[in-house]
This record gives sequence, structure tokens and C-alpha cells, in this order.
Amino acid sequence: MARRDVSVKQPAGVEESTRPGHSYRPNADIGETSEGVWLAVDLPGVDEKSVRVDLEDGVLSIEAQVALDEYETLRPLYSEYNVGNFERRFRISDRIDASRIGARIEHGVLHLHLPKAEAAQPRTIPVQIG
Amino acid sequence: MRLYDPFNSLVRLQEEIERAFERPFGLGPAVGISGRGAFPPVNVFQGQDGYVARFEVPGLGSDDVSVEAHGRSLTVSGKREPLAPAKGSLHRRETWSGDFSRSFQFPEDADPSRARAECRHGVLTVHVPLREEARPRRIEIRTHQEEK
Repeated sequence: MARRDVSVKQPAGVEESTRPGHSYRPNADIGETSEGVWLAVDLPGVDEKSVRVDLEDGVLSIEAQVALDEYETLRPLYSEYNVGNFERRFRISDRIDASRIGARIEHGVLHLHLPKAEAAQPRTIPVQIG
Repeated sequence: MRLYDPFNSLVRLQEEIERAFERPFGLGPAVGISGRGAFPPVNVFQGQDGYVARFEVPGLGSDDVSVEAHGRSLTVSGKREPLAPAKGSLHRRETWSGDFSRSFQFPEDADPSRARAECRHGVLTVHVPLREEARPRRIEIRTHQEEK
């Protein structure tokens, strides 16, 4: 069985946040093919409406909010993970064609595909469901 | 009426969860949970009409997990396939994958045989209701009127 200390998630570790509460650094897999770079980011509890992906000046940033309404009537008895928003930034070294970046979220995993290109323009990437 | 405030709700929820970290046997000696630190991580809550267990299972849908009840215990199992595609190189792997199975022994007032589960956005939620006889019941107080 896969086993690791998960009782404390990694704090987001980015610059001081203006949002209340703790944010966490989501786990990610990163790979590369001849066509581009791909990322898969674990965002359990996050849907397509609650995640924002931006690429600007070679920094890819991911911010996601978890839904809290389901916790309204629940009292914690035993816990192995904390619940919070997710934040993580990646410096993208390759030249990426920002106009062709693909983003989709499925079962709480954000999949990003960043095709390689000559020039990179800052832009916000819409996230689709599925 | 209390207004719903997501910011304060998050801070309060995180504080409550942190307190629950510090008492790993908060469910009492009647409950056993196998493998603290194993995947997938779970939080157990007291809900309005029973217990609620929420597992973080990113990448898994309803067809990828199974929940079984045996008496007072509940077993959650499944498998997460690695996310990496076959071709190209892998720079970093942080996500977990592989087979998993975790079992829970619930307190005597719980009825795992009537549990229901749903898997949404990579979170598996299992509701375990209280036994019928363990539910709080409102007792009607009758006014005794003496007949003359």
C-alpha cells in the first residue's frame, strides 16, 4: 500500500497571502514530450469553477478554492488532512505557446498541457470540466 | 440569522481540524482506524444524524472505489493508476498511486449497513447513519388533565 506521512499538507509557501486561513501546496506530476510540457495537479474537492490558472512572465500559477458548504454541520472527530485552498507556482523554462495551453479538471485533478512555441504571451487560461 | 461567511468558516474549520489532529483517538476507544498516514487520508466528522468520513481520492471516480460494510466495520478500497502518459520523460512525481484498502470500526451507535457514499471532485464522502434506536428522539410531553 502506498504510504507516506500525510497528516500535515505542505503549506503553500508563496508570498504572504491576503486570504484568511491556511493554503496548501498541491502535489503535482510534471512531464515532457517533444511537443510540450504537461502537469497533473491533485486538487481534491475543487471543481472547474473554483480553479484559476495564469501564465505570466514565465510563471504558471494555480489557485483553487475548496467548497466549504458541506462542512457547515460537521464536527471533526478524527483527522489526517486539513482542508484549505490550494496555491502553487511553477517557473516554466521552455518557450510556451500560451494561446494553445489546454486545461481540464477531472475528479479533482487539474491536467495542463503547455505546447512548446517561440514566443510566450501572458494570458489567463480557461479551465474546462471533464 | 447567522450570515454564511466563507472566510471565517474556513478559519474555524481549519482550527477545529487541527484540534482533531492532536487527539488521534478522538472517536474513542470503540473505534479503530487502520493505517494512519496511509493513502487515502481520511477525516471523520460527527454529522447531524451520524458519522461522515471524507477521503481525498484525487483522480478517482465512483467506479474506481468500493465501499463495503461488515457488521460495525467499513472497508474502502480501490486503485489509483499513475497519471504519467507512456511517452516522454517524467520530471517530477508527487502524486500517489497504487492499490489501497482501509478499514474502520465504527462506534456501537453507528449502522454501517445503511451507509451511503458519493464520490465528487476527487473526494469520497461516506455517510454512516446512527442506528434507529440510537437516534435522538423528541419525547412529547403531555399535559395531564384531571377529569372532574
